[in-house]
Amino acid sequence: MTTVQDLKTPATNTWCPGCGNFGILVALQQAIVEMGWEQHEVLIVAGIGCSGHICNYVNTYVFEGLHGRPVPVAIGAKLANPNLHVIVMAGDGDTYGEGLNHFINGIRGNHDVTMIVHNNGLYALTTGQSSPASDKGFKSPSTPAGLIEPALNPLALALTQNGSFVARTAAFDMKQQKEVFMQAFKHKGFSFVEVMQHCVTFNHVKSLAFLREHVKPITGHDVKNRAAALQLALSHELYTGVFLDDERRKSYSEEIGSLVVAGPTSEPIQISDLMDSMK
Amino acid sequence: MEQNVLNLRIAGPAGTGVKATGMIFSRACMRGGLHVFSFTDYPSLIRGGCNTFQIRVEEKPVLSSIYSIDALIVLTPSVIDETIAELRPGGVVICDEKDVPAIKRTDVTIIGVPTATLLKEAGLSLIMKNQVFLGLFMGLTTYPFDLLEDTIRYTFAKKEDDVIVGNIMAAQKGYDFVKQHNLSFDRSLSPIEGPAKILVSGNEAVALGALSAGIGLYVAYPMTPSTAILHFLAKAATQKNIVVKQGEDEIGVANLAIGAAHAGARAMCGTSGGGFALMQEAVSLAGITETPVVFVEVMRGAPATGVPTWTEQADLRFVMHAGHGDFPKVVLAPGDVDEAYEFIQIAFNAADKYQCPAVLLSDKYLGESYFSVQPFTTGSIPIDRGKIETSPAEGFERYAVVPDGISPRSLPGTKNGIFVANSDEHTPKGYSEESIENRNAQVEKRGRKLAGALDYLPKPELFGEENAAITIISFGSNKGAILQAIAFLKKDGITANFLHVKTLVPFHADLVKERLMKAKKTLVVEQNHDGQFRSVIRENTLRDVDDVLLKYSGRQIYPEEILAKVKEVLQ
Repeated sequence: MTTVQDLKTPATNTWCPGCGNFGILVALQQAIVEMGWEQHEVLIVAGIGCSGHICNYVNTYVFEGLHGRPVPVAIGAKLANPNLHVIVMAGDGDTYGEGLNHFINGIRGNHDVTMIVHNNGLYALTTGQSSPASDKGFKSPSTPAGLIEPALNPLALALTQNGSFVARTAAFDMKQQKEVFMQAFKHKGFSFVEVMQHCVTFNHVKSLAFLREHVKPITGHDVKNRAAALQLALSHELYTGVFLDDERRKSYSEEIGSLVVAGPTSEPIQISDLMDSMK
Repeated sequence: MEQNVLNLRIAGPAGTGVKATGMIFSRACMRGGLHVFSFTDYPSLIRGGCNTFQIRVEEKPVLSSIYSIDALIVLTPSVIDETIAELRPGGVVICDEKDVPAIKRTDVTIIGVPTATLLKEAGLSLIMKNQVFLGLFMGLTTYPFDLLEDTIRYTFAKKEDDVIVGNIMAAQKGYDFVKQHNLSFDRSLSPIEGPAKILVSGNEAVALGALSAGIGLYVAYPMTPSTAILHFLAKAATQKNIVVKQGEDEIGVANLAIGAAHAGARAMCGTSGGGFALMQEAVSLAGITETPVVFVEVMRGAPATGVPTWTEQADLRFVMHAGHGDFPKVVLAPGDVDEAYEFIQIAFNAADKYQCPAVLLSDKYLGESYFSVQPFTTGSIPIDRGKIETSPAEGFERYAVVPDGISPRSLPGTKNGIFVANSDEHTPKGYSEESIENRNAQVEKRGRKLAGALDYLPKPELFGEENAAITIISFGSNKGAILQAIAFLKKDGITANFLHVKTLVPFHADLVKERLMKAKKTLVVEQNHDGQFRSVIRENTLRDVDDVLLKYSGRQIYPEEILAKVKEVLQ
């Protein structure tokens, strides 16, 4: 049995004191433990940014890839070895800026991976520029007069693109986070969880106090009702919890006719029959 | 009358069955023991324009296309002006009787066929016109009709009976037309004894080689001229239990291949220059995470969209230097389908052995040309997965600093093998680490990995006489045209040999230099404007060559052009 202690690493943590990422890290470790997964069966694929630094702090297999690109790496790994529990940990810049195409297509494909997006509403590691998740008018070093574009609505996007699992939680809420993560892990298909994360250094608008005040746990909602989920996502309220958990749509691995379980050896694949059509 | 020496071109707008007709002709010849080489030229559109399919037939393996054609089948008058210049004096044009006035040449034989009448007589649709032309041409060369019939049956095997019978009847109408009108031609074709062959393109050879290498996953975004690899593998995927996926873009494609390779599958992605440009950051990622992944780059005319359906070798330097930063990679360039089949297997082994990206550099001319060859043998190159630790001891370090730089890797799912594959510089365990000591140790570790690779990777091969008057040096698909040029030169009493460089990264500098020093005259042949390969030779050997033949029109180099250049250099 894997314990939370097993999932810790000796690497020195470089997040700012009070960073929302600490909450996400602990909730992730607890959720993995409670799932009863062996640590070597878990592959975390991280992006680049403060969120990506999580690669150093979870003692499972980790692939820290390129900024914006963790989704295709995760899909590739899952297709090659469906026995792995594959979790993407990425930031809002990663996912909604650089990697939006991969995000949408991961949802479209309903690949059996969980994607957890650390949304702190800006680019923290590059010192606080606005991101596609920043609100219109947000002032940052790259938008000193205020951001012109409105914020992307990732939940509504996922819900309208046939996403099969869509959730939002908050980095300070350990209990809800862990529960939502576990529900996402259990879901067959692409499970998307957005975590509202405070950035103590750069985001003075969506601060911890702001988030504590504004998040509104969803109550009395049918998680198979996409239209109702979309209404929640389009609301100005910052709802948290599971918006949609619907397995009626098959996952990519259930649809695909091939099942590869990659291993340390490979055998030649017979080609003589394929050459019959070349004679 | 010359027998079994023939160059036929079929021309028509896109969508009129130019290639299908050419493939039936090629196959009918091959099934009669003859060798063929067929290539296709087409503009980037779906309807209209001028597509050509050209088939050269000989008794021995055909090395390349040649400039001069003996016969031309034109499917519509609109393409005549574009395609008739290469027809040799005394050659023959086959077209519909209505199109005869459109032909201005007076030094060729024109056969105007009443296709509408012939097809009407047989109660067949006008869309069978191509088979009438084909049957007629077979009759003209006195090739046995049953071989054509047999090939039509083979080609349309999955169609309904009336389609098969209709096609045969249409071909028979054309075939009989020759006798009825006493037509003759100065070239004939006749079956010979020979081993069974396959008709295979460079792209198909790559796909077959990848299967033979035990590929687990192929991913690509459609891009001419590499798309046939995707089509071929997608069709075989379920039966062969491999994953074949079309990605959302080339960035996603390359990263997906890396993810699959990281999890332990043999993974490959294919593209052309523009797509490979999008993959650059991922190539670099495979470099620092030491992930064995295979790329196929089928070059086309660049820059940007360039001339997207034509051939070029101007991505050479780009591919050799793919990815930002210093890291080892392997680049192999096959010259024909046999090498394509073999080199892709070697690329998989090299990626695994050296834990790095490996690129197979092909081009449109090789990728989309069809060669008649003996069937390939499954697993002709033994699979070598390199150093994979299946039962790591506690404290296992994936990026341990070892003497040869190649640290054993563990696959996700392996107990005690946990590590971080990190795009940041990392410790032996994989944690991000930027200290001077660690940075230097890891850069140098990766830098040592290819030390033994020159022994394993395909070495430059010399074709022709040792003491030739001139040595031609080249790479990739120019091989056939150069060998053909050498054969032509021999007839003119000129000896030439050819150093075919197969591995571009790392570079067999000593072997190339040794050959340069022995050569009386040296000529580089390559298909780009800047003389990229010449400069690669210069930087690696600190010696220059005497001259260079460059071509960048999008059309392949012909033996005749090499022959003329050699004569110029030797003057």
